[in-house]
Amino acid sequence: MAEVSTTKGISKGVVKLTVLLGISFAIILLFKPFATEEAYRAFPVIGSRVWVWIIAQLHLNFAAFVLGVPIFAVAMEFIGWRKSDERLDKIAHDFAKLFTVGYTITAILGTVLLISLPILYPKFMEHMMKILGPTWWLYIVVMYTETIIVAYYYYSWNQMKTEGKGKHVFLGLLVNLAGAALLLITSSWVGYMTTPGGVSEAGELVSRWDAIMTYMWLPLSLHRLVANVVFGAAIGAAYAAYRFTTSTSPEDKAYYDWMGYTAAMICIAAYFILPGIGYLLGVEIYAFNEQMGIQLMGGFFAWLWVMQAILMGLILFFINYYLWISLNKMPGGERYFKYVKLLYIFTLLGWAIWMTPHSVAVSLEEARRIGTYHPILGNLGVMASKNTATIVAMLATFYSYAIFRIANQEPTVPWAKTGTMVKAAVMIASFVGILWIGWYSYIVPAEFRVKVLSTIQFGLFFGVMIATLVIDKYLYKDAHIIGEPEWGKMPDRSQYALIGVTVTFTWLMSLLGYMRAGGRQYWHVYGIVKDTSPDAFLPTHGFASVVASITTILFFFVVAAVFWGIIKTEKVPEGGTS
Amino acid sequence: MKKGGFGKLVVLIIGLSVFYTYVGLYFLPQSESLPPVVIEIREGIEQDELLKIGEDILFGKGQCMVCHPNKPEPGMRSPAISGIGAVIAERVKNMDVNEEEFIFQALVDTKAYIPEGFAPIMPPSQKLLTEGELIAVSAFLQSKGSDVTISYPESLPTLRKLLGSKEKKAVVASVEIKKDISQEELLKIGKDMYDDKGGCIECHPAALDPDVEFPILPVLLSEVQKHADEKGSDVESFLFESLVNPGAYVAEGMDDIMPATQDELSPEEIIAVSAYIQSKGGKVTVSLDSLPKLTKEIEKAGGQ
Amino acid sequence: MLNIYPIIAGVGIVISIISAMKKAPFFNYLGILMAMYGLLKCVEFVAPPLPGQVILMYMAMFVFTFLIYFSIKEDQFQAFLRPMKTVLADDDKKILRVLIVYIMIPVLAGYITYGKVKPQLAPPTSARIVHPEPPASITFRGEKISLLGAESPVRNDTANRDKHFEAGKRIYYQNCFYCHGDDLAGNGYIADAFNPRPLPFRGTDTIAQLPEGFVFYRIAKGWTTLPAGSTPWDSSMPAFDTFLTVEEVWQVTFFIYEATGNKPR
Repeated sequence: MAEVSTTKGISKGVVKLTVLLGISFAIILLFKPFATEEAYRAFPVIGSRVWVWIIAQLHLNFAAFVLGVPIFAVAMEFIGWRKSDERLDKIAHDFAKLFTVGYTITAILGTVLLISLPILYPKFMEHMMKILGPTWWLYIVVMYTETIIVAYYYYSWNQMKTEGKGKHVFLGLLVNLAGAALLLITSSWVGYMTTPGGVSEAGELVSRWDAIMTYMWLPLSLHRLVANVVFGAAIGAAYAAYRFTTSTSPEDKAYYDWMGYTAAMICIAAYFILPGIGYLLGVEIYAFNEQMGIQLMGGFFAWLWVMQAILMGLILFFINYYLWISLNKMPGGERYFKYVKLLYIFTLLGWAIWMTPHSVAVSLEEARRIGTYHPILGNLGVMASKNTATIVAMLATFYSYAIFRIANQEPTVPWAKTGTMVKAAVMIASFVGILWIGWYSYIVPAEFRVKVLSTIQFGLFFGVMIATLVIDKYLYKDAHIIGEPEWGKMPDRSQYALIGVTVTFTWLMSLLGYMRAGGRQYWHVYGIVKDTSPDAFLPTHGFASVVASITTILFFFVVAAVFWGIIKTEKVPEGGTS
Repeated sequence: MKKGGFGKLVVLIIGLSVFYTYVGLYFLPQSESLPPVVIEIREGIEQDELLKIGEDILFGKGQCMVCHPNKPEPGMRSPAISGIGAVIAERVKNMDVNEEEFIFQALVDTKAYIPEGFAPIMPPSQKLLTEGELIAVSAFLQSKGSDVTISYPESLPTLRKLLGSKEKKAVVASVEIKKDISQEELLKIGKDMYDDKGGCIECHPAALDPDVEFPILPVLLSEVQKHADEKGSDVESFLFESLVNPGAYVAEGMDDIMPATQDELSPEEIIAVSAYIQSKGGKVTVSLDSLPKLTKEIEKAGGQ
Repeated sequence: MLNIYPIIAGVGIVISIISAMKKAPFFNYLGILMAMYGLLKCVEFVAPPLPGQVILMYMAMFVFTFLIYFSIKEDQFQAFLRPMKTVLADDDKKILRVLIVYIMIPVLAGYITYGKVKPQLAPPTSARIVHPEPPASITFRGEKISLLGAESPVRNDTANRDKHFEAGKRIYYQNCFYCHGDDLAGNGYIADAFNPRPLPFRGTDTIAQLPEGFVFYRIAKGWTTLPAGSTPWDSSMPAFDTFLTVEEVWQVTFFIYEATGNKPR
């Protein structure tokens, strides 16, 4: 592969960033966006809102990609280094390649956004600069830092491979720290727009720190951080899946099968934490403004939660499907197919309840005026049952994984029988416990349910997972291995399931991003800066879906181009020079 | 490289996106959420028209229906609109305000008249609505079961007075309490705070009142003493905690509706009130020396 | 009307069981889907029927997840695909192929399209408030009467109970029974002319749920002061304050409670 020296790589990155920033400042200066009495300018044909919507969402997707993938890559590199596993190091390097290219695209999209916003929304941006201006300059500084570290991290890979690997991993950690700083800064802007603080009612700055440290800031940052890990890993899995389906040699197939599996498991592990943090975010929104909370959860957006449940359940099903098919490649895996039936039923029931709408009435007003709830659906469609259903479906998914891990082994420890029985008891007790809490949630006040019971349910869920993994660790110590997993022996449809996870998750990100932004209704900054543009209304769910689809397809179009570019460079013979 | 993999990938990505779009377009209900229109209320507007505007605001711009159901239903967050005028007419019978003042007060200073069994969650309406709109909503509420006496612009002075006093209330200068104040003076200030600025007396009257179910002033101290013993903390700290973080301990059968005292009173004033409460049935131990203890409790309450 | 849904569910279950025994996953799949559809529709026996949209959603979920289920194991998946492959490829299945591909599928598509575009005749739904909120007070022939917690002077006057009962009865049969009926069951001889029908006083869900003051208000004011949710033409109750005195209204109120054995709330 073509080697570029580290200094050259860094200067390339810095020059790129400077050029992009230079272009945007030049254009902004040329247009003099703030020298106008008009509060808005219109973007041709599709309108300002849709334009900014699509660009911002694409920018966000790539940002999630370049923030999530490094977490994943550095973790891989670290484990590979400690375990001296060459395969992991190769994966990590592959991903470092992905996000280094991703940075450039993110920066280009960011530039477009940077030019668009002040020109299209001058009054609103003027307000944002007045309140949070200094954070923007900090952002630029962090951006430069990040660019330099990333370039250094990537281009010094082979140099530092033999000596100074520890330092290199540390560099990777710095990449992630800088990434987290970027995330915190951008989240503070979005947090301020949705749950503003630190300003007077007339929009005058009272305390800048309060304007940054809003209700939403930390939960949103945390939610985004975890979602980024999910997203980065999902992209990795999709990449592996694509390479798997197109490669012909058994070695390549085995390698990409293994890579897809690893990425998919990291993806789903982080995914399990998301509902909990999402819950926290919801609680913060309620704390900021009860009305906004209800509007988001039960008002205009109620049906989008049904949509969200459909998508989340689909992701679980794709992953389960992948794991169930994976049993085929495990010698001894056929012993476990009888449990798959059970897991299937639990996942299906969980999903069905999860997506059941609470009220079938269309609008808030209708729901209030008629006030009809279907006796069965009405009872299924509430928080109590949905939490339970979500956790049951996720727990079933976890057990699919737990079964897969041990499918090719047989315990040899003397207490094998007892151990298996304890495991089964833990499983049954946890299902019963979670279902019982679910039932109990119906008869206690909402406050208690939200703050106590849900926490216990989530706690139980994580407790069971940890307990099962710990028991397995000892139970399968020196276990008899029936046969090594036959990596690469997978039908193509399992790989499409992985790509399905990635597409669905991307679409879900667009949807939830829209809901977060839409929660402000007709405000730019909720309760402070009113949106008086012709686009101040919330569009229909169908319209939002179309935009989400366009964004998703555009995103994958660009990602495909990146993948294609990487695959092409691989064809340059080893040791070739540029 | 195997051929055809890329084509399948494209089909999969576009196919899934199209399917989700289909769900969004044809499965979900399609409606737009429009921003509220600016409603113009002229002087001398017909009463019918005013009520109609009030109803529209209730269902639309005011978003009252988010919490207030039309008809009473189990588990409602806030009182039902239907018949609310009659409820108000009933409530003002025992008060020295008229219906008009009551409704305005409830909209503007929303914590003022929270009915039993409901939490103080309502945001102040004057942030969202103009004066005219407030009057329209009030008139509509009154029409739900009572004779409408509110009209535009006749009711404006009453409303403005309330809006003004609400603002004034917030900037009432804290009473200055000198370091070397005598206990008698402190108790006197405490009583003023209790009866007037703090408004404690509205819920905790000085003598038994059949309409009030909250502990009355003379028993407050014994309640505090009892719970402090149960908790094993000293009376002073518990008293302060109850005042600055009322949600921390709520007596059985009571709702967590007491507002935090430090929003209305300065720390010195809270000391005075505490001393006053202690003076009703016990030895007064609270003095300005207790300030650090109080500050600690306030910080604790703020951190939650 | 004959309800076919239990039969659909039953047939589906039978198909599913037979094909499971014969190891024919494709027909098992169809059988399960059929059974699920039948069962979802059967909900109407125990509760209000499920909304069509929810059934559609569940069915889409079943179609997808059972497809997944039957494609986990390679041999099962191949067996699942076999019927489709044979119909599409084998030479001896030509007639079946023509039947399915060129006739059944187009007809099905046509039928679904027809169902979607067929004009629907359904009256618009309106949410009528049956028991509107009463005002705090009404003006009865210029006299102001407070309704909040109003107590019936007639009911309290126990000494003259029989006199009031007889007077109420007379007033009822002079004014009310044409619509509200001989036995106070809302079936007077012109009751059919009204939509909504006059309310019955028997049973526990009309006047038994109401305070006496509210009944007084409805008799005195009729349709005239109903709030927006109930007016103007959704009630044909006349305003009797022009025909009767205050005492007479109380008397007839007393009568309809006593005659039906109901107590005011």
